[in-house]
Amino acid sequence: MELRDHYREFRAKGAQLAALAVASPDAVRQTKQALGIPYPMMADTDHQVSEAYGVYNLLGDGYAAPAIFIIGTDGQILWQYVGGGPRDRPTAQEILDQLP
Amino acid sequence: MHERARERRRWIEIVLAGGGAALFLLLVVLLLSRGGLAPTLPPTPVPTSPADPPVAMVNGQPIGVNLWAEAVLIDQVMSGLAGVPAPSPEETLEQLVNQVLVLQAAPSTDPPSDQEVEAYIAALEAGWGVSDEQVVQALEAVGLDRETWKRAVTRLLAVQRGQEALVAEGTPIDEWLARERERAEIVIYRERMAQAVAALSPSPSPSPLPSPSPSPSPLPGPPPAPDFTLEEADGELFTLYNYLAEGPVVLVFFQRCG
Repeated sequence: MELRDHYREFRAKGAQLAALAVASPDAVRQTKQALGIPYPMMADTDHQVSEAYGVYNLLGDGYAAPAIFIIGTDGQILWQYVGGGPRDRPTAQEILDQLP
Repeated sequence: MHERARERRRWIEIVLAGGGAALFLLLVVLLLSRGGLAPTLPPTPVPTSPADPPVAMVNGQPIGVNLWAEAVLIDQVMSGLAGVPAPSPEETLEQLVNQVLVLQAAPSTDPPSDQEVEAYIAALEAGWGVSDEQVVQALEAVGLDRETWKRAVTRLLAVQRGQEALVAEGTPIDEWLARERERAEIVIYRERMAQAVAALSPSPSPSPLPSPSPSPSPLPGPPPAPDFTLEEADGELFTLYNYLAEGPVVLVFFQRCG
């Protein structure tokens, strides 16, 4: 959990992290506890949010593709990265570099 | 380039291309990972329309040159919007072949409603961070209109449903498709493809998106990020826009949990 390890750096830049997964609330709760994730984590069980962001089932597996969206205070999407495979995600530093 | 890296890049390209290409990511990747185009079989006599001759036949069902040419242009436009290289015309045809296979095999369902199609288009545009007007402009630059794109999206949704139905029957779609590609009678008319590619307008590169600049623009800005409220793991409610009041939010989609 690289993002977890850089949580303070995100907070220092005034940004909040929030995670979602297409999973049951129980699975999300267990993951959050097991990994010690310090930021909000939600179950997008009916994948409505993943669909709204266009990342649901992109990999054809019935889950969200791994993806990052940086959303500005005005609601605009400032930067996004949609992974092409299960482990395709930017590093915490790459995300931090995109923050205003 | 290293084969694996090349394949990965292709994944990313197709994901980013979104729209027409994105939903068929799995199909395309699978296809590419299995060695490319279908074998060319000798052409067999088929009923053809002089105005719309087939460029391929899938189990006896023609894929007309017009549908294919439209799909090629749509792929170019959508890739242009995403700022990534477009799939080749051959790859687009392979996507169409896979679509036909899915539609032929899936149990028939009601066609997607107009509302569903529009909602999907809005979600795609939100995902790309572009407005509907920007998409229409890019389509018009290659001689297409929104209705054509809407037909393509309708088709995409129908294929997606078919794919879901097949998966629900217990077959992983990649295995299913690999088997069908082996079993199906697929004929590609390469000469006609080559002629049609030559006839397509020369390099109709989609006009670049107007970059977000401080200068006044007649185009509306990209739509805002969709708001949502979900229950957090600890039971509290999380509403995106409440958090945005405090600063930017980095939204992280996990693929798997647990």
